[in-house]
Amino acid sequence: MTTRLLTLALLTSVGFHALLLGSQTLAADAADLHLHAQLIWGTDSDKASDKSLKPIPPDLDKRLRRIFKWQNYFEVIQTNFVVSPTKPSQVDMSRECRIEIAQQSGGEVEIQLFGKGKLVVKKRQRILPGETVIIAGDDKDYNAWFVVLNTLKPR
Amino acid sequence: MNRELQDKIQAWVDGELDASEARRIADLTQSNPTAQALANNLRGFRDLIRSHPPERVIDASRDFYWSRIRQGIESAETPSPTRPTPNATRFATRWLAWFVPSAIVAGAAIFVLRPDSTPIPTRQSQSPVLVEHVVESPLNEVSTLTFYSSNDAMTVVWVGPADIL
Repeated sequence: MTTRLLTLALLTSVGFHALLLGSQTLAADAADLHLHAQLIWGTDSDKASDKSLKPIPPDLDKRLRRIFKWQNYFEVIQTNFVVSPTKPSQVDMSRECRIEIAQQSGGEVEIQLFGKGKLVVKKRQRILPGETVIIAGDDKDYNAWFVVLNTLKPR
Repeated sequence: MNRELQDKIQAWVDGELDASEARRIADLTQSNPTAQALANNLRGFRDLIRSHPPERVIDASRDFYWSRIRQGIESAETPSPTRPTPNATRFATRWLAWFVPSAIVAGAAIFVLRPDSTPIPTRQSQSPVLVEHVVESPLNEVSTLTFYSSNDAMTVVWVGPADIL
């Protein structure tokens, strides 16, 4: 008898937690997504030709150097923005470069990168807290560009 | 360019094709700018990976790391000092007879009640190598390579050639 009661209690508890898990997943899917975007220029030159370029934070510099071959990385622009579940966000990273981010079902986001008005690449994936997504490519004179996206904690 | 041809070009870049097939792909990359761009990108990415092998950092000294492994092996080889008594075995069997069906029902309940059936990936569960993300480009001349670094928790999509600045 005691065992049956214990089992009943166990099943009730598991069912309750399953409901809780489901509702939390729904809530997480429906939340605003807070993102930090940076446009970074990678080069082997010692100094940036443009004085407005800033060195990137040391931790990001370390991570980029572990993966990519360039010696120096400079920040062209950085911005924080919010993507609501219902409306995509557009962010101008430079005069010619724009990104559009939209939340998708299942907690995924769709990232679209535009260059000179044309859609260059479209990527869909889930971005976990603490994860970084980089879309990058070669630039002229053996340099490179990097669009770096990170999740931020909501305020 | 279809997927099969992309795979052929990748195999050619990696030196995996026989002589006649390699010649055919080499000719193709000479005459087709898209194929040539893909081959150049693959070579560049290969060189990038070769020149930056992943670092494996162990947050313990060498001796401590190996002593932990030795202890683990020794403890696994040591027989259990106590054997379960018949009463304990009977109790465990009876408990399992209830617990196993309960666990199955609970598992089914979680599966049915979860609105989103796609698995929630964690950093540990993701592959540290090339990963299958959905990446598309409407431009024929643009090719992409996706790489995931688990050490840096970083997904990289290398796009080339693309003029965005």
